[in-house]
Amino acid sequence: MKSLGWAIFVLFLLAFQGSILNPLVIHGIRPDLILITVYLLGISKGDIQGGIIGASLGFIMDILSAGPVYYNVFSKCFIGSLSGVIGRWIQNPGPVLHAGMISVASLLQGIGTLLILAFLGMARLPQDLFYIAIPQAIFDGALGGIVYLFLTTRRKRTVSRWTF
Amino acid sequence: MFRFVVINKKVLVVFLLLIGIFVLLSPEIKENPRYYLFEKPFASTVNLIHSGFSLIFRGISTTWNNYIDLVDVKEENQRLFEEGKRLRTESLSLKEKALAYDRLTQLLKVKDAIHTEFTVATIVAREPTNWYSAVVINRGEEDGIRPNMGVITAEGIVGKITKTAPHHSRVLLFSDRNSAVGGMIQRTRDEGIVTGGEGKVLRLNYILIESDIRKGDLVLTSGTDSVFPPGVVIGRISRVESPQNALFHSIELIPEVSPSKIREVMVLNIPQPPEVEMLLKEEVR
Repeated sequence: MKSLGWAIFVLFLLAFQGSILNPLVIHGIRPDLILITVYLLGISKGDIQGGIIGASLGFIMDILSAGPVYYNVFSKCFIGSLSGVIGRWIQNPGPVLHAGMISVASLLQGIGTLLILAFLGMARLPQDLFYIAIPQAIFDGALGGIVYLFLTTRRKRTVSRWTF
Repeated sequence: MFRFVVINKKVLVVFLLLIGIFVLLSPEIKENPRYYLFEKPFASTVNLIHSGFSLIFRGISTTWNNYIDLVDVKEENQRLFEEGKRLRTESLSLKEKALAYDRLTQLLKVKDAIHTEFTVATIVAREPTNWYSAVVINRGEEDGIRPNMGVITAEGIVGKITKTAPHHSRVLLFSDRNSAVGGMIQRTRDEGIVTGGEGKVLRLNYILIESDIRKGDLVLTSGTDSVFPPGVVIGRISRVESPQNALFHSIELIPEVSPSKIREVMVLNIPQPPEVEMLLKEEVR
């Protein structure tokens, strides 16, 4: 039942990411909700599961995107595994640290995309870096931090409600 | 006499009282427009009490009536609120229908202008990443959509089909970095290639430096790419740079169609030359 819930959530998330009704757009830049989800799941589930989830979601995202095939599979898998490692090694991380880490992950993914585009002769430097990669990294980090804060606050409330 | 008075004291009091009443209620005093000397203290006192009673009664009455009324008003308010909500929804729906009607009318006008078969489609999704510009439309192979078909609106070009599924297709927008379309400057008839990938700005390439290009010139499709018919609007020249010793102008265009605002599009069915058809079939395989 829990797996079915997750599957439905992921489907909605993927649909929302590409939806024409997605309101999360600032100056044409949309946050990568899949990246944020993969990072947060990796943190809580560990590096192996994070990697698997990342690869699966990246695969679906690659299908939906006009970009090069398999790029999202590898990038999201890497981010999921990395966040699993971070979750294991860093004690009591706060939302600011997570926001920073999500920004770094997003920037790494952006630089990866730029490298592929440069290899294909389609990169426009430095415009792509300043107008797409960096703003998206900041947006992803900020949104990821807020989501993390929201989730932890809710969790604390749920725990305190049942603690005597 | 005095004895009589003492014995009949009560009678006297009653008598004096009656005289007093007669005096106070005499027709002259009653008809006087102003309160008379005797009347004033009575009238003032009684009126004060009346006022007090009246105030309290009116307060109670108003409160009660208001309460009773409020019960109805609340229901009425709720009913009106629901009615307002329904009317707003209806109004929005009608506005949307009117806008869709306008857009479709525009598309039909284009049909007469381009003399090409087309399929009307609606955009259902957008590219999930920020690196590419593409949309997904609700028409696919079963509707006769094939890769490399041009997609336009009444305002101008949108892009071309890059991938098809039975019931939907992906359209690569003209603003994407991979996009290129044959363009022609309407005033001078100079032909070049319009490419995307620089945000909202397009670039017109390969226009010779001798050409007399001006800001504001309209750029149309040239029709040489067999994807778009000639004469469909691409955009207007917003900047021209002519570097010394360069072979070509550096030209920027502002597209007429804003990709983020389009909803309905037309997928053009232009017959492809046999060699192109063959290449496309091989690509699909």
